[in-house]
Amino acid sequence: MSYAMLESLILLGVLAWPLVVAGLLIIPGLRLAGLALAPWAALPALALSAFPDGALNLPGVMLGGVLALDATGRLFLFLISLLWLASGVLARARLRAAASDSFAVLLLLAMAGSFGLVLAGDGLLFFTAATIAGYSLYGALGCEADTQAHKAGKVLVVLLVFSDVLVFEVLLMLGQAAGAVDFESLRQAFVEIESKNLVFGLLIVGFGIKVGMLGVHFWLPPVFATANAALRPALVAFMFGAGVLGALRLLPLGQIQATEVATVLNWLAWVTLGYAAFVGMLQNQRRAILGYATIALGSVWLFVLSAWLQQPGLWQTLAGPSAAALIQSGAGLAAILLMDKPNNEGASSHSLAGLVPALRWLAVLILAMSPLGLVWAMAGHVPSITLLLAIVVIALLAANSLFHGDIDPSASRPTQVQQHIALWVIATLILVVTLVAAYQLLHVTMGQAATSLVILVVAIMAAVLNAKWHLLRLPVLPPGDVLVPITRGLVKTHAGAARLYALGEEGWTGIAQAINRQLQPFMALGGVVGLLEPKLIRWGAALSLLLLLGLLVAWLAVS
Amino acid sequence: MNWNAWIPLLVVASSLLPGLIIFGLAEDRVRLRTILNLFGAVLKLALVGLMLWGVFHEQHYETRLALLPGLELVLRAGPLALLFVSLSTLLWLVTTVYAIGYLEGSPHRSRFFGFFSLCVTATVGVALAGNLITFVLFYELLTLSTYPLVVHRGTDVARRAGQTYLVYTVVGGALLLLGTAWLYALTGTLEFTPRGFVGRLGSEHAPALVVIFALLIAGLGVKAALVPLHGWLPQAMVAPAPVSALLHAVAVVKAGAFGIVRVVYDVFGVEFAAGLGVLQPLLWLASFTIIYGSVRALFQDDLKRRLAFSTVSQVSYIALGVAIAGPIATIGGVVHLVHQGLMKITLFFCAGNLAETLGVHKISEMDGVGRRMPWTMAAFTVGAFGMIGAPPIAGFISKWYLGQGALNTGQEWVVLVLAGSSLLNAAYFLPILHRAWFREPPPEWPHEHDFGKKETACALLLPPIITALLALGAGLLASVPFSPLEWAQLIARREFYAP
Repeated sequence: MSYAMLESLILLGVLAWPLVVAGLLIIPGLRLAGLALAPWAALPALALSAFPDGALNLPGVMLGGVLALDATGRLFLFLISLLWLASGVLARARLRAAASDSFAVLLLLAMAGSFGLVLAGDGLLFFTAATIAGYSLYGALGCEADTQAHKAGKVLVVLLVFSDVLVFEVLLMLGQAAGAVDFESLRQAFVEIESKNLVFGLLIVGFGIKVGMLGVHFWLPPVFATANAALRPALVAFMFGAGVLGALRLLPLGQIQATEVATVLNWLAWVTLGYAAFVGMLQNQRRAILGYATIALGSVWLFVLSAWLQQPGLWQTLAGPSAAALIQSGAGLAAILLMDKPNNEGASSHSLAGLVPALRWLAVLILAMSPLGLVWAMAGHVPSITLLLAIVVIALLAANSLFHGDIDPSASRPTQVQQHIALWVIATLILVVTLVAAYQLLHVTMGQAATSLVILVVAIMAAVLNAKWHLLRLPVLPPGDVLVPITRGLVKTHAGAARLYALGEEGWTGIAQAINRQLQPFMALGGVVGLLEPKLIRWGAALSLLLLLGLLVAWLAVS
Repeated sequence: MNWNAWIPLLVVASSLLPGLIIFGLAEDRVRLRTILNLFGAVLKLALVGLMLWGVFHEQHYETRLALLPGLELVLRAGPLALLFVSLSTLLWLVTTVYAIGYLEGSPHRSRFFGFFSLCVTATVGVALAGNLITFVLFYELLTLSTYPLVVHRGTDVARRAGQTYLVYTVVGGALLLLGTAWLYALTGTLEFTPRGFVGRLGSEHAPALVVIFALLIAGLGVKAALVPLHGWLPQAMVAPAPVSALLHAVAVVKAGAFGIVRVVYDVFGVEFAAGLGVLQPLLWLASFTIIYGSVRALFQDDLKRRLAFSTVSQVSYIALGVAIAGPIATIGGVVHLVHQGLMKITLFFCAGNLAETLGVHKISEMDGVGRRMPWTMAAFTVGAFGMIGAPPIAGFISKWYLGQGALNTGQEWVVLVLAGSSLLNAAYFLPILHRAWFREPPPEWPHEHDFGKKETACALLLPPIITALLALGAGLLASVPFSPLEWAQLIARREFYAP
């Protein structure tokens, strides 16, 4: 058997393996074997990401499909399979539960779809994979007993349908112009097509839905807030695979200049950032805030896309840092989601619980600093103030999300205040580290102006953090609706002023103790080796893996 | 006559003869009736398989019998005929298995299966008809053989539905006959010919030809349920589930849609019809029907009624593909003849299973039904996603070609119709799926039958699973040899590119 044939079989095998495992689950006699294999079903895909380029023609599939692994695909396959591995490991407890077969089958279908996104060599296979992954994730979300999850699932599925219709239109137009559906032909057709702006619009909104772009983001915060632990990394994988990769596959980056579209995208990036910061800070649901942090992360990609469309020559310059940012942001986001306190998921007794707060803050740092490499690469080409602000907003939101989990709601009011102050100190430290790193990069291009800018940003951040602190008891806001927070914000102004007065009368004596409590997990890092060795089981392993990876990429990007 | 001349006749007779024998069987001869039904269906399938192989290798299958002076009964197996006859034969076998399970223990089974076989005989005759008069004869036989099936339950509602069905289809048949006779008077022939035989008349008869086209399309549009001639279809859903499957997926609506394809391609010819200006109104009508049917489906609580309006919408995709008048859209329209059949029969089988097993008829009663009947609802899910046009299910392939065809002929607005239809299909199918899979089931079902550990009887469960897999296979493996898509491409090549 030749090497090429072997690699072709491996390509097909990676795609088929989750389906085979799903098949085992529905055959009564083989169910236990399926349950044992399911958590590790992503391993072959992870291994494939180390293979060289390869392709497999499937002439009978759809309209003549192609499976292919290229440099871009390898990067995404690594990220996505890692996320799915974490998802599978986290799902183990859930899979063992009775009546979980539907959930397991849907999860494996979504996994196969996600791998299909990466390995698809043509537009139709990609679209097929996106459909399978998207609707299976919706199905898995619907398997939750939680009615909020059902509501979130409905929002997701409605937007998925719209997204699919728009992407279908794009594929129809490009396919008709190209007379073929392989990515290269579709990109070439994009360059030559007359109705370019229409295709741009359809494509950006179509894929934007899947990455939670502003205006079509409504699914993201509620789904993040209600999805169970196993689904969260899978959702991140879907966003990167079906959204970011989809746009990358179809856009002829480096071959096309579209100044008007670039300007629109640039503005959209700004608005997205502002919206995410404003609405995100007013959320009281921990994971919903993370949803807004993810929306803010989307502004980074909008900005990068805008730069590419404005200066096609930047494609080569930004490709590497973009890949690093992609991996780093995916790993950071997934790590935060993984470490989120489980709600009614029965998995809170893991032995690494003491380390979790420390690791969570570390993950925030990784996520927030993910665009730094891009700032560096853009130096001298495009003003990258948007990216700096994106870093700040992401850090602010992600850190803010931790406030909710680390404060004991049953504690007395003075204790809560002390805990808030402690967290504020820690968050500021994290953000200062982020800003110093950003400053180092900016200083190269902006000189002394960078100092003023950083001071300004720190001032804004401090103001926002303080505002947030004082608005601590805002009611839970429906994620995604900007009008509700605006209206309620006005109504709460008076109550907020009264609360400010009340805070002045609270005691401050326990502040040092609270800081000490928050720093305890960091102290535990010293004994981490002895702790990890016998305890590297279940999600702890996946968690550590993701964090280490994120740190590595962050270090590579900065250095 | 040589052997090849006998095969089309044998294909027709393979359901006719068992049907006639079944009429004479006593009710308690269950085993013999089952053997006759299955023997006829399997024999027909084998013969059709043989013809498929032969036509692919350029064999010629044609039966000619004298009918009237100057008119012959012609049965001919061309690519288009075989596409339809393969669909109806395959689905007849599956529906027969389903009907045996569905009607177990119910009265008048000999009558039912007798007419059931006659209905398939008529459908196969419609498919194989080599001229318009043969087509009309079998088309009328189809009307007469399906009426007793529609009123099979014998209730007042069923009789009223049957009456409506008969009025619509008989009037439609009369219009078709009138158009056929007028056309014969003008041309002196009714023989189906690649690229049509009307074109040779030239433009001097254009006004008459436009009227004839309208008569023929009106006659066929009744069975194809084109708005406003669709009124009988939602009412006819009172029939038993196998009959609904037959009406919506195998025989009646398909015969109408197939007739439209025949009239445009083999009577008028696409180019001549486009030149006459008759295809544009057909395109508008089909587009309107697609949207109208979907909008009406949105507001139905009765599951079969929702599926019926869905048929109104989906069958018009076939007319749409024809009316766009281009090779790519032709592929989309013609292949949808098969794809819609596979998907819709799955949905009706599932609706029948829910009714027979749990007594569930309404969508509002379907809460948690997926947990009680997971295999049935899995098949339903495949059918529903196929209707929406989600890949890799067959419906996606149809929509892809229809969309490409519309763009190719500069009729971009049709793409909006397709997009609107997809959104509407999602709007009326996804809430059903959400309800069935994610809501809590009620403490007890309206009228539950106990099947032990199984979710329902095997004879009821296997057919929807098989048809769902076929719908999936027709989409996922669309480009393998002998697939519906390959046949549709063969038909389009013959119509547009053959010398």
